[in-house]
Amino acid sequence: MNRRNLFAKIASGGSRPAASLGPEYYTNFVLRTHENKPVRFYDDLIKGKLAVINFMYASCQGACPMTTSNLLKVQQTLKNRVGRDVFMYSITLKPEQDDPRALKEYAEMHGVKPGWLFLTGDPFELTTIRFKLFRWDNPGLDFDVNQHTGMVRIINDTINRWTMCPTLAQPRQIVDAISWAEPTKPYKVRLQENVAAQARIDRESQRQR
Amino acid sequence: MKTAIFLISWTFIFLVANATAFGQKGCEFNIIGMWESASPGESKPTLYRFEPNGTVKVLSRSGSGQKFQEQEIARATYKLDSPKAPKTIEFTSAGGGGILAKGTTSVEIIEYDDAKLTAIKHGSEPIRWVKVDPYRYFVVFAARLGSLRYGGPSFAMTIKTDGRQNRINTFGVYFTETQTIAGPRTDKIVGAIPDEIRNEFMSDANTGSDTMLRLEVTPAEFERSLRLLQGWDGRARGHHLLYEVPYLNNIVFLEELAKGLNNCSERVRLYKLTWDVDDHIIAEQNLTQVAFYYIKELRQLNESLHVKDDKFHEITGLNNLRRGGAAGGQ
Repeated sequence: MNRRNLFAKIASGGSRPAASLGPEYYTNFVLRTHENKPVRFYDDLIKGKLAVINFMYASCQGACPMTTSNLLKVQQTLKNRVGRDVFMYSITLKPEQDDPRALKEYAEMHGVKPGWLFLTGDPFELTTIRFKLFRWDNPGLDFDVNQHTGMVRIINDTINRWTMCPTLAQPRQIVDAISWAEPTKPYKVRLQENVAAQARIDRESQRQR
Repeated sequence: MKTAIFLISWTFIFLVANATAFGQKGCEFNIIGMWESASPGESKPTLYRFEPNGTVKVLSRSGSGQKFQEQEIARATYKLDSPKAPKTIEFTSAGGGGILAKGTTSVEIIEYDDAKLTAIKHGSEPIRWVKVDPYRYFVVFAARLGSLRYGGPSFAMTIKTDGRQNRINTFGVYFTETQTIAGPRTDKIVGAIPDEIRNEFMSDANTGSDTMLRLEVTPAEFERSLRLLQGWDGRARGHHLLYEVPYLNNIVFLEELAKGLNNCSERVRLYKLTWDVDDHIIAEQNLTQVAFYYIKELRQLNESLHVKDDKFHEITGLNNLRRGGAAGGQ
């Protein structure tokens, strides 16, 4: 191993964003993607990323199909950002039923594009992860699977910024919520974006009149 | 005679189209271990030890009580069509000759649970296999009422015993008091329970301030319970408990443990905590004491299943712990 590689290895080994809660909080439990690939929850899915996470299950007859369809519109709006600097994850609430093949079928049925992962794993570990992301502090609600499909958690690990949004909000609103988790942009850029956003709001108001 | 009995018990050849195998939903079958089968016409049962590596040994047992000898009389390989929910077991003899029949034979399973298996052979009575184990297993729920502010220790124990050695695992919530400059401080700790507290619950005080439910369970129920307990212990050690409030973690654990005992059959009558105003425990009791009242409720619902002190101490020898006796190896 030459010196350059050695120093790079030392510098990158074990490093994580300074503000991050790290694997001590998120855990590094190994999950499986809908492509049946093993991934560590923090190191592979969260570390240094802007993650958009929701919960579902493949046999859900209620909100999940609508949620997935709505998030698909979000993926389409974000275009090629998904899988590049925004990472979408849907984690099953019923891992006993939802193996990678079932999740793959679900993803394909909904037309999910690459960059959005559906995840399953050990039920005990998935519950631990779920409680790290969402919790009512009421076991009556926390252990009711139907209570956990309504919100999407957005985490920017680099700056440890968390937010959340209803999964059935307008796709544009969800994209805006994702932007709230992004690092603060320079003043000039924010001003330009605000002007553009205001112009869009004004046009929509005009149309509604 | 032995050969004939052996051949009869080994020649279960039958794929009955109409026979269907079932176990309860959520009940995973585990064939590993020792089974005793009583075939029609057998004067004494035959033992089958199924190993994890796919071999099965057929044994005869002589002697009685703790002094018995096992003698291998045959060996074969076995295969389940579905390890966790089988409908057939296929045996293949390792070699011909002697008392072993050569070739492959299949047994149709018509029902099973944690500890029993019923198979059928065409034209015969069903053959029942019962799982044999030298150990006995207990799951104990225990709690003390304690103060309104903190409650008392509340936890569960799993105990595996052969009468000489006991393996005890615990998980729950307990309290430590330390003196600080600012005054006494009480810390609530979620995790394995210290021996001195655990030992206080080796006898059933059955007072208004102490409660317990002690259940003898099957090996499979024990393994499930131990796995759950160890999982929660792992959460505590890894600082991944579900809630910041210690009492919530403990109550959820106790309820999961109780529910898990009914995975394969409705053995234990449960009290469902709804966490709503219609739940008399949640509505009327302080959170610090919910675990106590939950266990008390379980005891009332399952009084007939509760293993009393005299029987428990006779089986485990765990009746001298208050006087400093050893709990046995873990």
